[in-house]
Amino acid sequence: MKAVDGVSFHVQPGEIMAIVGESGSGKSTLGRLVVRLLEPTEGAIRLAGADITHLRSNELRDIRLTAQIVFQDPFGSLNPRMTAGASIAYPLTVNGLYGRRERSGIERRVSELLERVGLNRAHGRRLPHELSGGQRQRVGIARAIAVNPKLLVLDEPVASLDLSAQARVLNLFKDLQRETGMAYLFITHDLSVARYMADRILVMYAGKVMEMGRSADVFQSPRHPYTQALLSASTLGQTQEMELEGDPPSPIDPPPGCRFSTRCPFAAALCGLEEPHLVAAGGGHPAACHLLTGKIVRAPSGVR
Amino acid sequence: MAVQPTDLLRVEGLRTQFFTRHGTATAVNDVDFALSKGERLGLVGESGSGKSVTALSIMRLVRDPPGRIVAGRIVFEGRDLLALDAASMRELRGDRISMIFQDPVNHLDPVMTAGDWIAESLGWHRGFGRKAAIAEVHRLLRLLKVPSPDDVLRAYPYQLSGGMCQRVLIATAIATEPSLIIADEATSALDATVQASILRTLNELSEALGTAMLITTHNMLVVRKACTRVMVMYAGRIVESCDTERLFGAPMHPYTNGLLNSRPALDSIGRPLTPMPGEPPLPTVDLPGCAFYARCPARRPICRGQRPPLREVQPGHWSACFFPEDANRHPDS
Repeated sequence: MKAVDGVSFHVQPGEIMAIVGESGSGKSTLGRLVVRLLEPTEGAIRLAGADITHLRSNELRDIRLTAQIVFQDPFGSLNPRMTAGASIAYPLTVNGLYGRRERSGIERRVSELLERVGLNRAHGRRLPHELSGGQRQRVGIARAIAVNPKLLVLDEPVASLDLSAQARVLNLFKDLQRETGMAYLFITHDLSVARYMADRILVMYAGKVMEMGRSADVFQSPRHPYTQALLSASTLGQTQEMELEGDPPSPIDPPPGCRFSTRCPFAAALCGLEEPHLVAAGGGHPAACHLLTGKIVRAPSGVR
Repeated sequence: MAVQPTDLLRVEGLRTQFFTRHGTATAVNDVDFALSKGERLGLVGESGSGKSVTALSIMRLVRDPPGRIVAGRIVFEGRDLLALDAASMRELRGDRISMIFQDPVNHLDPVMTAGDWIAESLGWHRGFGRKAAIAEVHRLLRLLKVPSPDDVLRAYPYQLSGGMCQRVLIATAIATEPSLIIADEATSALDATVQASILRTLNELSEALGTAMLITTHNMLVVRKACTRVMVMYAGRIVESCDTERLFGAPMHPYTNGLLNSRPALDSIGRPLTPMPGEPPLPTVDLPGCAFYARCPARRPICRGQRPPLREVQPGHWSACFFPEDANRHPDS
């Protein structure tokens, strides 16, 4: 089963790249691969110039200072028996930034981090179950930025939060990014969030990249039918209505040819046989669709 | 609110509380509303607003203990549901009023095929025999545009996607031709494109069968796509109620305005989000004034001591705010 299949991209220092997709798209797996919580079966991952693809555990410790991850479920990713402050302090000691005995140094840094994410000392003394969802997520963020990483992978960081908490955490991400110049790999199913946060966007479907480009370009001129459908589902009437039926395919048994062909309203016979390559046809940003390379044409009504 | 002859459902003074060791939590506090035949009404709010408990109260599915409906009337098709005995309520539930929930996979019996599940409802409520039930299930799945009904009929829940499970539950819900379907966060666990498809289906069904819908959600887009009228809930009370487009175009409560400003809009790039500070009050706390006071950019001293009643501030537009004209005030002004 290929959760992520043939995905290539780069993230510049200080850039925010959004990975957008629905269930089974492979976006979360991609996030975990980038921070090497998983090892790729094929291909290469280069972080700050170093090839980290097949590093072993003690070598991986070094990359922890460069790339960190914040997870979707703030409750599940915090140790329920550690106070917020202790969770935030942990990467400082475990990565050798502070010796375990340097109490005052650690405390100062933890205070600083709590404040950075909009929490205070009292919050630092609480256990996860004594904090709200938004507060727990902030603890996760403080913990991730504790080592001053160059890259932060954010895996659906606001999906389980209420609207008001979501908005506050998104603003926090923007502020942090401006202050520190970190790059973000922002994984989300929510197009509006991707639009708000990202410089560039990569759209995934069933393990493959369907489209990628500058955020403004992809949103203003979506080239791939799947992106158009996703936009249509996420807005009301601003973009042309594009209705999809059925469900995303299971990564265990993907359809032959283009993974999207089973739901695509423009699919032709070729689409079920030959997989389209990701190309920047006609001067636009890259997308993987036979319509763009002229191998198939849109039927007059545009719908199958 | 005035009683209309076309009222299918009328909720009056509903109060549902939970008795816990931390105190008594009033999840639904003095809620009044009406729903007409065939109408699609949205109930929107964040977690803890009381929207799900309202839906569960109407179905009398609130677990007692620790919860209990302590006051009010729920008049459905002329009968007060709270006055019915358990057996009568059981007959009505799943027959005249059906409900679909958030987590479809876990709401199906894992050891029954989808076909058996839907057929059971038909047998129980409508006395269908096995053959007639299967034929009817086929018809329903085709109505829901399920491409291979036979495969779905024979499948167990773990073999079906979330979207497909939800379609099975919708088929079950419409099988008995109810006059009301309550959808409680029914699309929250689904992907965006699947959610759009399910909402379209619900709209089409509602039009075709004349079924009324009560849709609870935290997602404003769901409300915009599927509801003609919407109510906003905060801390157990309704704070605004009007036509959907009115709510988005010209909200008349600062909380609604705050909610709308919490979402990045796909069409307006770069406009900063102006989120609301703070959190809703705990449901165990009964404040004398407006529950939104501490977070409201338009608050005045009167709001702290007196609770603003839900009143009609414009024709068809209700707001529980003393200063609804200030609803659009920017937090920094």
